[in-house]
Amino acid sequence: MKIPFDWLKEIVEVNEPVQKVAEALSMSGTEVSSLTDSVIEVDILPNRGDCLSIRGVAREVCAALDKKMKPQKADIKESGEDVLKAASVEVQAPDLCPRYMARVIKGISVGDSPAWMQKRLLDAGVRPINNIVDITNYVMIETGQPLHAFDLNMLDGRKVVIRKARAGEKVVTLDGAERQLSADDLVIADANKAVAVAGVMGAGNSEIGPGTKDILLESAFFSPVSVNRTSKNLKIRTEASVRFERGADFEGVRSSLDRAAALIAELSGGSVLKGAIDVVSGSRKPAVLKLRLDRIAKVLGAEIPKTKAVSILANLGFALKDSGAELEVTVPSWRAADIEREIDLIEELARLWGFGNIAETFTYVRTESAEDDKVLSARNKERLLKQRLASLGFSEAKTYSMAGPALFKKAGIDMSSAVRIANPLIEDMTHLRTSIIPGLLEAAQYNLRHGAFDVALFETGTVFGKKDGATKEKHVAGGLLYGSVFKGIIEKDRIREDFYFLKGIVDDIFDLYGSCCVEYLPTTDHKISTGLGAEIFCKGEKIGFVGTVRQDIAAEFDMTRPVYVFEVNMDYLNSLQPDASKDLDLARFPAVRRDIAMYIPPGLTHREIEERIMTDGGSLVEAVELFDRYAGKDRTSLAYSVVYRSKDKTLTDEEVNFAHEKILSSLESGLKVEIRK
Amino acid sequence: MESIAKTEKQALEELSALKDQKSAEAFKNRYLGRKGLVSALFSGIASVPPEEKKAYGAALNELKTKIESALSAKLGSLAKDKPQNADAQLDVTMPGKGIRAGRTHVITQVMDEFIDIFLSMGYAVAQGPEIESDYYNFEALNIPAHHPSKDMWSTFYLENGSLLRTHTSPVQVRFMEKNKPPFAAIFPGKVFRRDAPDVTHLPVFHQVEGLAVGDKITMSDLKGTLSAFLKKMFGKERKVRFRPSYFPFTEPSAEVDVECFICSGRGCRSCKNTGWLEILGSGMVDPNVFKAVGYDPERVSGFAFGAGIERIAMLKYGITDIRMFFENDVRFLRQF
Repeated sequence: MKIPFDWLKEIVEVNEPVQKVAEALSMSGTEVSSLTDSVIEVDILPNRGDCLSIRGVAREVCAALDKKMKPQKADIKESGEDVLKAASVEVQAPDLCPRYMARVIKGISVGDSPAWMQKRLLDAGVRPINNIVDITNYVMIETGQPLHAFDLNMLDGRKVVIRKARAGEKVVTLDGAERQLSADDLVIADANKAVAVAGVMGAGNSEIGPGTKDILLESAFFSPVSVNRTSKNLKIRTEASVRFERGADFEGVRSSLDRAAALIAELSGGSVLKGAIDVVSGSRKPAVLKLRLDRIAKVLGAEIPKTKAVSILANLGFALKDSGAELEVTVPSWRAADIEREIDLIEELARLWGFGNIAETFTYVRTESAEDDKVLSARNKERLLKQRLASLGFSEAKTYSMAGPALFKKAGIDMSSAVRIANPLIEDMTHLRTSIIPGLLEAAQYNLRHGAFDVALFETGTVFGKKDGATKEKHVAGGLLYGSVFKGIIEKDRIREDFYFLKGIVDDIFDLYGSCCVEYLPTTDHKISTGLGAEIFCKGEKIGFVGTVRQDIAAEFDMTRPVYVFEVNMDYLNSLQPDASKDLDLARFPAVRRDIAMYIPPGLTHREIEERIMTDGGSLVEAVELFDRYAGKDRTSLAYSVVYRSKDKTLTDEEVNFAHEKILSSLESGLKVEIRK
Repeated sequence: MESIAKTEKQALEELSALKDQKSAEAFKNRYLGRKGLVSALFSGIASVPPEEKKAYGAALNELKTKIESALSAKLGSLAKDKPQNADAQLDVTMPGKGIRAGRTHVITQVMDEFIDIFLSMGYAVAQGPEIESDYYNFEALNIPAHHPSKDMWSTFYLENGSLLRTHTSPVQVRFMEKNKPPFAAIFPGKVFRRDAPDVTHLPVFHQVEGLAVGDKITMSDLKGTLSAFLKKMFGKERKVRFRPSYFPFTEPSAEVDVECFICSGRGCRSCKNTGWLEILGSGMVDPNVFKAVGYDPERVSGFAFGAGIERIAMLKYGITDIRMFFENDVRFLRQF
């Protein structure tokens, strides 16, 4: 809100320069967003509807700089008939409109408002329209009370009815749009039709025009909740709705009405009819709060002298009664919406006494939280994981948790289990991601388009899904490799980035988390990679995937060489209880290595061979290491080193030979391999 | 005899000038070879007078031994200087080889730094779901429906009526429900706002919030703790100030500013010429929040705070477009 400085000075006695006033405001809770020599622009927080006015900000200046408000003058001259003869008001929904006041002013002439008023309105950021509308705006900016003027002669029956809208009722608001109302919305109507959406916007059918002679001027208190709801439903935010939804000043309804009526009489030549209509439902007593003085220090950790506390509250307009250890504080009507409790008063004291006056202390709080250890160890592990992946050549990415149909389609992922965002903002973010991989593919594409040749990325984060209407979250780690992670001249056929390279990295992850029961099974129907990858299982549960992205999908992301991806469920990894026991009985006798090279029949897997060697070799086999694979045109050859070692003695040649022969013949007879001599 | 002395001098001079194995080989041939200079001197013994023959022979033998041992010493030192690699054509300017290491994300790094400082102060860490209910995200935090304060957070709602958390505060509520004071904890995580990506907005970003609750926690503890944190994070010489503000879940509420570390408080674009950078939102926990989790606000008090990690990273590294964090351009990622 823009506060013209001369307007402010008309209300509060302040001689300090504008910079000083702005500084005092911002250090006492009214944020100053910009400043010129003549205008202070402030950001008013949602709890301070009262400050959406020059008068409200003036009160803050008053309290922050210990100044006095100037008395408000409202010399209204009434004449002619009684207002009740000219118009009537009926409030049918008193819960949504606890107070409605109106005055009638006759014989006005509509024209431009005076230059000084137009300038002030422009300084405050409001476009001048005509004298009547300008005056209602002027008074709203000055006092915070929204007002509305109706052309009295356009109100059927010269009557104002405040009621809920009828189902299906429509109204064309002043902005020219036809609005469909619901039964929750409050309208101002005449005998026949709605003439305004209460507290939000008037309708064209009763608008002040050049020919308007007589007006009905409205000043009311509408329910903040009702105005907020209607403003949201209709998607209209106006200067009026913003103020009403924060709570208007119940007592200020009259003074603002009188101030506007007086100005209209003065500046448009009309005469104000005798009396004002005032429909109030129920009684509103100001809140009286107890403020325990010792409570102040308990919250703030600082003592505010009682005399200081009293003067701060008095400057803000609170009425006080001193009863020793407590103050009885009566809340002024303009603060009724946000001062309801003792803590609210303590905040007022703290901000105006100055946060800078509170000392700095440190209290160590001993925390015993059962879940803490788990969360911390998971975080530490994840930190290690990230560092390890970075050391292996992968950079950490952060991709959006949302995706649109286009990305799902591009990545070949079915959207049926994706959670839909009910109020999406843009087409690229209509659903929650079900996998991290599409985001990584998109990030890789971005890099390729910006000149990168090799891309290696990973991300850890949450993916989402739904089942039977319930949403689910899963923490995963995903990675993508396109091209090389190596630098310098690498003997290309010795280390190659391929499926096995990425699998090695995934193995590293499991190793870090201490998982031993992982099984890689060939994939059959993975969405991203048909047949060229492995699904990862542990105890029958699918916990991840590693493989090559389908060529047509890779092509969608501008990738012409093979691209490898993995995704692993971190919730599973974090649930593991790593085996803390260590094998400290290290073998001290020499190991003997024997190599076996063999042609294998089609379909035979490494795992079967490895298991066979371990089983047949018995306790003498310490390790089986695959060291070569050669895939010829019609057969594949594998070569293994078998490491023999005993913990009790040095093995003799005979012992090793015996075990080795047994393994060779078992491989030949059991697995039908052809041993290469 | 003169020719022996001359040859010795010449041989030792040449020897010391030898640069490599190959020239040493040539030297050996020239002096000690079958047709070498020493052999030639031996052949010359015939023309030496008989009475000098003995002395001449002895001197020649001595010369031979001298050259041999000097050569062998030289060969030894040449071998030491010889490169270990058989490749004598070492080009030390060629690139090293191995894995070109990646980097963790700058947001991860800043977040970890933030968290580590609070861990050192004895804080616990807690996490919670990203999909939340209106109750945990708003209601329990003293943000009622149809109150304009709810507009402080533009919210993504999901098809089933739940929402994407707009802050990590719901984790605070869940933590309070599960634990009894006293405690102090931080709550890092991803949060969501219904904002289209632009230079200063992202629909997804990261926050760390914190909460300390006990029977004697005061606003001066809030000031002391956050001040200590900010000085660790941004330098102990930095000034810190607390400005009154409003959050529905704290009262009193304070914005915490750090003296601008880009211009050292003189005023620049980053601090909008104020000399201060707004880093944290904070305040004393509102009694209504304690009531929502079944605590008695007369008996416990506490403070809470929160900060956006992207904002801190932007200020720290002079990044002016927040979208860079989610573009994942490796040229950007690799610099941190």
